[in-house]
Amino acid sequence: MKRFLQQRNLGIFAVVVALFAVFSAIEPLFATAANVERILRGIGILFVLAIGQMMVVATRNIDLSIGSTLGMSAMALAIVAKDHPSTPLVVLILIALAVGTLAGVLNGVLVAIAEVPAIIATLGTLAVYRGLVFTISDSGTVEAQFIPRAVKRLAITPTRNISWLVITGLIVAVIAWLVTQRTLTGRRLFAVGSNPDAARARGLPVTGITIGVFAAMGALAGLAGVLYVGQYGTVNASSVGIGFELTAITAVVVGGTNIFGGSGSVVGTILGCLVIGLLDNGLKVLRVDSFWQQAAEGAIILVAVVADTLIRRRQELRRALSRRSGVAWTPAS
Amino acid sequence: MSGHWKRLGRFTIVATLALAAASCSSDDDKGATTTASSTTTAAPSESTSAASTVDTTVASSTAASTDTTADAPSGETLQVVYIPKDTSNAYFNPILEGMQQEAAGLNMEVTEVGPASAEASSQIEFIDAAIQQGVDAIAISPNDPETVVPSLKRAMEAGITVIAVNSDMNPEGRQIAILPVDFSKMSDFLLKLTTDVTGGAGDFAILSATVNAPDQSAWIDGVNEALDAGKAPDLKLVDTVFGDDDADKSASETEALLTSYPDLKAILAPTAAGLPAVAQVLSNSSQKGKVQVTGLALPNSMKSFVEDGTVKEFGLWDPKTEGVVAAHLIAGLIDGSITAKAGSFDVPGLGSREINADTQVIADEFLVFDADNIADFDF
Amino acid sequence: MDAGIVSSTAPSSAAVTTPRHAARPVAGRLDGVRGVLPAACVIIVALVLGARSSTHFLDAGALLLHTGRYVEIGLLALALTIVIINGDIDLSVASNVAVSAAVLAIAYRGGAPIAVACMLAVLTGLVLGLVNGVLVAVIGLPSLVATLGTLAAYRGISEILLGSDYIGDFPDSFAEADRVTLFGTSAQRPLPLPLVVLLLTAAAFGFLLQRTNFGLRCLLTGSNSAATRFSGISTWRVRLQAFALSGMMAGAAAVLIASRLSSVSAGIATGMELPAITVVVLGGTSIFGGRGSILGTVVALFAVMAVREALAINNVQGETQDAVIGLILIASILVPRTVTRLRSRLVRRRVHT
Repeated sequence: MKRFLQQRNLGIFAVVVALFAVFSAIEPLFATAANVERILRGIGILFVLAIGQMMVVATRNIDLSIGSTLGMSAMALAIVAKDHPSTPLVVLILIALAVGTLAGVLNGVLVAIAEVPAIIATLGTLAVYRGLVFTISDSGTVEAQFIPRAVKRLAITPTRNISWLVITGLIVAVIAWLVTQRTLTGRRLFAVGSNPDAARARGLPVTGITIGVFAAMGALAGLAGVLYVGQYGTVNASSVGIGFELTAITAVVVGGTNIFGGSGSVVGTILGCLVIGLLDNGLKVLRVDSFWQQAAEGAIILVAVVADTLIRRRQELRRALSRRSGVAWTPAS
Repeated sequence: MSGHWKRLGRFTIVATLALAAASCSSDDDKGATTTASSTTTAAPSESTSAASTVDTTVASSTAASTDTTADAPSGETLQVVYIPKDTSNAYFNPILEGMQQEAAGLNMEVTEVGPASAEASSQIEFIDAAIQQGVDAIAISPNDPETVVPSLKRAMEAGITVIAVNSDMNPEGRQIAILPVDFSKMSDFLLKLTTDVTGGAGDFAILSATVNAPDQSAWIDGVNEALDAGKAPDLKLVDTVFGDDDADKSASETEALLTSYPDLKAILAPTAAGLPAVAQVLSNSSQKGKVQVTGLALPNSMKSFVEDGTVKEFGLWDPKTEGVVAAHLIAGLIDGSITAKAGSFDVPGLGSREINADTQVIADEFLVFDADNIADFDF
Repeated sequence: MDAGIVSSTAPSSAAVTTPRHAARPVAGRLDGVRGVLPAACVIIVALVLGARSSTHFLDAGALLLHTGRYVEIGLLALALTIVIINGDIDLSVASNVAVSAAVLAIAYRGGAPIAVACMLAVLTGLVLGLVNGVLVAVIGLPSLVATLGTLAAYRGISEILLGSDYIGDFPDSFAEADRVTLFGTSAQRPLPLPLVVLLLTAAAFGFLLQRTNFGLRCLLTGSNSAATRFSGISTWRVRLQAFALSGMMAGAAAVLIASRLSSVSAGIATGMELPAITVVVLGGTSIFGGRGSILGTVVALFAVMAVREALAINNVQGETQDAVIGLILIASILVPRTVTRLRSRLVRRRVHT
């Protein structure tokens, strides 16, 4: 457990606990099992996206196109399900994953081979992929009646109050944790992020790693697309996945991942998702006036990030002083 | 399916254009010359795909752009642009269908063009383009009552007939507005739906569209007034939340309502994008059947929820009727048989429609959908 | 006047931003012209195709009138150019516009003269810009993170201020300033007021970037922050000033948009940061800082306008327009790079044979 909660995640963990405690104290209904399940279900999709984004950010890149990628996968799944109602669930899921992976690979190629800065490449594909969502759906909506029950069941609470949405999120988190903490590939991600030139000089396949991490992000966005269809039933071209990239990036940075690459933790990202989920649900359950909700969310997130930065800077200072000459990495300022 | 391919074709053409344009950017002469050739090859295919609607406008628009009169000479095809709130909202498809169905008989051509999202100022560029094309009429479903008014005033100054369809706006921005039903009866209708699904007693909450949605705000005020007047003495409105017509936001608002009000009997969602989202949450929830869901939505978007028992009854109207009325209204305004004053006019096949003192036309009556009749409707 | 310093620092900027092309010979003025080329080509192609596909397209009066819609994006993009040259980014500009416009409208409704309300709007923008600057330059948050937070927070403030209200009924002297024309009111080609505002502002920004110490410090800060700091320039102050400028421009854009739409609501200018950033990047400014030009931003703004206008006149739907702009954005970086690479390979082969 201690391993999971490394020192640098303590700050954000404290924020999660504090938010939960404050909300529960004000409104006892907030702390009910049913509501906790609702919070978790509400961030299932975010979970999957944020973990992918964390790995992309760790390589000193960013993927702004994930909302549109999710949209393409979800829409592709929905259209196939509508036009060919007998398609088995596995095939539908594979279609969504394939669409997402393809989109991710294209992003990766643009960034790693064509050397277009990630923020620009994915800002461009954000618009292009959204255009494709409209194109394949003929600017339309696939209604819930055309979505097979097997897909919808992904979001229906089965036994013990835990839906597949949450289980999928947890499985993704565990795999990502194992990959980043326990494998060579994981360590290479951070090596590429902390110093791409040095990584290349040391013979690491930087191009391959970069394409790989974008492909993984795309696949996860595809998976998120499956979950989206399951959770929301109706898929509409102009609203599916809109703005999800910003929420995912927010979760990643609130979770303490350095936006300039080289660091990042799955546990921190999960805690970041929880902060967003708690705020989103908590402010509503507390019946905070809707006009105040967004400002409060923005302010609390800013406070969390500022506090985290200040705490971490002090820790680093202390570490640097204790090692005297040791400068592990400097936060790019 | 052919629609998909047509759009995909146009998309790829535009995409190659973009690439052709950007390939200019090489910093030597060689690059520039190669681009010049690629542009010329791209151009003809582009004009065949996109200019088909434009070619026909030429004659009538030169008449309009001289700014003498809005009357198009008889024999010319009237060019009408319909601008929905956004292009992917299925609600507006039947309106376009209705207009296009009548267009042939009225020597009219209706083109739909609109923004990707229902953001308030995003409709302006399409209004400006329509003015530049010199179309004969603009029919618009405004995203908000004020933002598009300056542009529409400019359109009217250029001699273009402007009507609002489906919701009204600041009257300075249009000649006549078509409303789908009599909105003054809306609060009674919504309370009737709520009473039907709850048995007339208990707590209920409203999930609306955006905080700025003028129609929904007026309806909800109406519901509050009706409740204050004791029209449904045992119903209690406990909260009003806003789902922004977004699946994600509507769902999280619904989840929060379920937590905050354990005794909730019903959620009323008078918004076609919000109601399916609310129904989806309850359909997935253990409270399905305990919390009733009703409101306004297209029947196609609700079929699965009526089938699985989440929704007993909900309502709307047939948006297609608005389109039919709109086509005849536009034709009448242009040929002068209808003026933007209180009065009445005839819609073939539907009968007489009245223009009220606020220069609004009411197109149709409310419809109620339930398990017995929903299969009869396909929109 | 700073020619010596510029030429001595230019190689270092090239080395930092594009390590692969460290041998670029002249990174000064020529680079500016090259940066403008992609956008200029886009303008020409869009105008040609627009004119070929629609007889209504080349209507100078209409096109000039439509510039009003793009001027607000342009004002944001001008200040963003400086922020991005510094190596930062400001995602909160559109939300800042919303707050500033809300303040303008509320002040006017509260009885303030419209001129005072406008000044309050610009002041609001400045203050919010300073808040960003403090978070980034003083506290040390990454600008992407800080302004992502204020993007949400500022939009929230505008919602708190306005709720579900629409505030309109501005005096005639203020409403629809985009229809006020200078230099020949009723003539064939009148110059709309917002366009004049944009061009004057662009000239001022060009002067600021190219001819003042501030501009030089921005370029230095963006090209190598640490080295610049060690050479005695307080980079935090430069970055704070750039954010303040960005905020002020958001305030100015708020005045123009409130006037053009003649009404203000909480959702005003939603999503406007993306086209503004697109314009800056399309104009050749490096997203990593250290390199960029005001001229490029201005040309890119007109490129985006030309493309959108050409597509709109052909009844192309909004989402397809967005996608085309996205493609152009990618291609504007991809194509020159590919051409350069191919050419160097060709040259190498020629040398070998």
